[in-house]
Amino acid sequence: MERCRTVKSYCFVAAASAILLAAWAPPAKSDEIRTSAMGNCSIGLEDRANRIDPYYYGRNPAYLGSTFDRAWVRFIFSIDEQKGDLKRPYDPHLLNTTFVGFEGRKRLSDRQAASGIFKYERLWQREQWHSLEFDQYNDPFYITDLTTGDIKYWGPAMSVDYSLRLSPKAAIGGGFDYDISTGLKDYYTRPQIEHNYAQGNIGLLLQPRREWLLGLVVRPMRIQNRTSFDGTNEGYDLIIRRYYGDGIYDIRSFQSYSMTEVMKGFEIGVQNFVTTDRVKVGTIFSYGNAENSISGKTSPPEQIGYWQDKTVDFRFLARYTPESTPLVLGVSGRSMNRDGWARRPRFEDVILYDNPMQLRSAGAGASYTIQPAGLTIAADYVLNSYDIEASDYGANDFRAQEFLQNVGRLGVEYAAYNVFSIRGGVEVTDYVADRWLKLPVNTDRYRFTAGGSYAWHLWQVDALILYGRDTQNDTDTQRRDLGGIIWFTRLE
Amino acid sequence: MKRLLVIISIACAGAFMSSCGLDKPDIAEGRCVLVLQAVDTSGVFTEDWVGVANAKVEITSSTFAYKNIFATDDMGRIVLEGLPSGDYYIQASMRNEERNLLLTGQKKKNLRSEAAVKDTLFMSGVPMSPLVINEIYYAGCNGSSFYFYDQFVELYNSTNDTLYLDGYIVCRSQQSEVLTAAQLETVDFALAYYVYQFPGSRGVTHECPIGPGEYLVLASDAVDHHYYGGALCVDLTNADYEFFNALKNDFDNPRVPNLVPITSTGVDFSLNLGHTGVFVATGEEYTFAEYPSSPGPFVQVPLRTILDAVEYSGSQGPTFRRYLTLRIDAGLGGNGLTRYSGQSIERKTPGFDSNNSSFDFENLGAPTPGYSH
Repeated sequence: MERCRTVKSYCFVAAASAILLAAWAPPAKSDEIRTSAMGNCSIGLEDRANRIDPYYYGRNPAYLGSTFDRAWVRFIFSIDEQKGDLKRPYDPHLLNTTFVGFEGRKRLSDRQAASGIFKYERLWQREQWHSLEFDQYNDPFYITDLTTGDIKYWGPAMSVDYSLRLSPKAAIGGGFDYDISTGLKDYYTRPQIEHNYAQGNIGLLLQPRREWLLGLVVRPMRIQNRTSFDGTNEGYDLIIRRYYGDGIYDIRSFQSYSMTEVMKGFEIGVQNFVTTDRVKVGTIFSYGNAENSISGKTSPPEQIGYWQDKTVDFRFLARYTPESTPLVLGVSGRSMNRDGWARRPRFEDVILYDNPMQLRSAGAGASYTIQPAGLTIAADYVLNSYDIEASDYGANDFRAQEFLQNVGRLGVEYAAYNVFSIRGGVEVTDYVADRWLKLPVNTDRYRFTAGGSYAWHLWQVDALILYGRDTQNDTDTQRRDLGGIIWFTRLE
Repeated sequence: MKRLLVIISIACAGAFMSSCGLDKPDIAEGRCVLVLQAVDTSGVFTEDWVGVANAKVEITSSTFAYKNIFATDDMGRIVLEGLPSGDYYIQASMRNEERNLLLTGQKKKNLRSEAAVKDTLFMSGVPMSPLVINEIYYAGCNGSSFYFYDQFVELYNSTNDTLYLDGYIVCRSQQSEVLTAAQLETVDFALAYYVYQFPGSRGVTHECPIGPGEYLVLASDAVDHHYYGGALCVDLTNADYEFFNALKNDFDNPRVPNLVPITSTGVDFSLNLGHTGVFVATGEEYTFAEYPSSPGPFVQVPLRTILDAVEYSGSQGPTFRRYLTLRIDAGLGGNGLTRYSGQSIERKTPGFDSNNSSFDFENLGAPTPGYSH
């Protein structure tokens, strides 16, 4: 399993957001450090962790044994820092994410293989304005106080996958992702924020013909976020605001209190892969449903809100390798419909928030390798068409945007003697938006990357440095991102 | 292979069924409409019930933080649109200085649909109380040292005459389950735990005057509390009276006249930092009482002798325990006010008393002893 490996995708918030914002989307293809260092080029660039197969493209654990090449163990260190005011109101001014971890892959027998990763993370939200939740933007319900402080989260995260080949034409697999973290705000109202995420991953794979793979994945998921208040040393009563959308809120005053949100969901995906000598095509159709129930700790428990999210997602990725040329051509496409809505308890027949969105995406990419110089050049272009509505009926605030997003990527790699390589890349996104339409409009994102690798004996070192910048046409406000990641991999 | 396909089909069907979720509601939030007709039923101005023009209508929600003030039109009608679903308290008031009368009416409405809700708000006359509690500062000012000794109660004379408070009593309510909620509404007295009395004898001496429109500050301890508690605390050296318990280790400023306790409970006239009731009575009648469920003694003060009562609490709810009967204070003041915040509650308008502290009082960022904000 090669997901969640870049500096950005390792952060807790991204993990939570991944479920809600990109819910049910399979692991990002570009999470491999090589493609990440090459500007996230992923459509036309062939890479070990960028293959069009059920495991790497669709994270079907049943295919782990078939795609297994060799065993290895890896040690990872990563640090990333985002800073700036070009953000949503409740995003931290500065977000620092650090983790250390290790992962590995091993074949257990001729028919069994396993993969796993364990890491320990620290997420440091600095100058966090009012926000008191792990992810303030996972639904329309949120709580705030009236102070600005730092919140530090600490906790482990792990993921395992296992596959078992039943016959030459069938395999099953199972996987489990689990994150837990505890955050503390260092200033009044001093809440403790506990985040808990668990997802199962059950996969089945059939191979009716040699070049045809048919897969099925089922993923139950549960996220629990609890914010607890146990008083402060100053002896003050605690006052928070509980928001139902942005317009309706109540004020709670207490000496101790806790609020819990539990999201349970399910995803079903059907996968279809065709692989020939020259053409590889992968298609995935998935349906996801998640229900989030927010409740306060009172006697009897008090339900605060309900949020539901449904996603229907279809995507494909195909590559073609012409004969006798070191050229790879790729195309990608995606069609996703998501519908989220919220209501308040006691008012079950009244809709509080409606958040439908559509994504239509088409992309093309190519990579070319010049031999014997060992120079690889890759480029992608993706056109995303978004249609998003965020209707906050309680606040009488109706936002809607229909826009095109252009994403361009360029990556270069120079590799020599299978010993070392250096890489560089750039990715430009010309309009960044979130599903709540709360990011400042006309935000563009530039992401510059550089990296390299060096191998000796059975060891390989990979490194990546990232510099990102969000800018807005109309103002001078920016948000910068600086990070690095390093791998030490030992091949078995 | 066929068996596997069957398993897949069953798994898919089961998963789809389990992930159906709830149906999306089709009524939009924030579309409630409330149409009110304010009607004068006092019979003071006319014999008929007529609409009250230009009455102040205050609407607050008990479900969420919402508060707004409107005025009725010439027909006494008001239309409120775009309200979110929720429970609302509506209070209409109209003050008549000539008749020294306050027209007031209250209603609670539950709104939850797009259809307009129409109702009539019946307003009746309430004679304005001559002596009212104008401000209570109880929250304390320094949490790190638990300093709350700068508490005070401020009285206000809303009449055009000088009043003499000789023998009057200032009381803090009971704070335990001495009386159940049902008993509280059936007995004809309020139960006090601390009772302090003004000097002199009611109707005989004239030692404690309060002029028309004047304020009296009754300090827990009449000192400059800045020196002891910090910057948020209150300077009470100029207080008019000081609560002083000579039998206990209480501080006394000899330059400030004292109110003295009539019971042996407590060290000082301490107000609860979160929730309690305070009331002023003429002191013409009261009875000592013991209750086996709680140590006393307590003092039963007849409701007819009580001039004004205020109950406050920082956090409130529909099932909240009350210490004072609804007959002398229908609602709680101080919602959202926190301990050691250095804040107080004060009457919105001096002398405005509808016997509902949730409407009559508002929270102040800083206390104003001896004057009104």
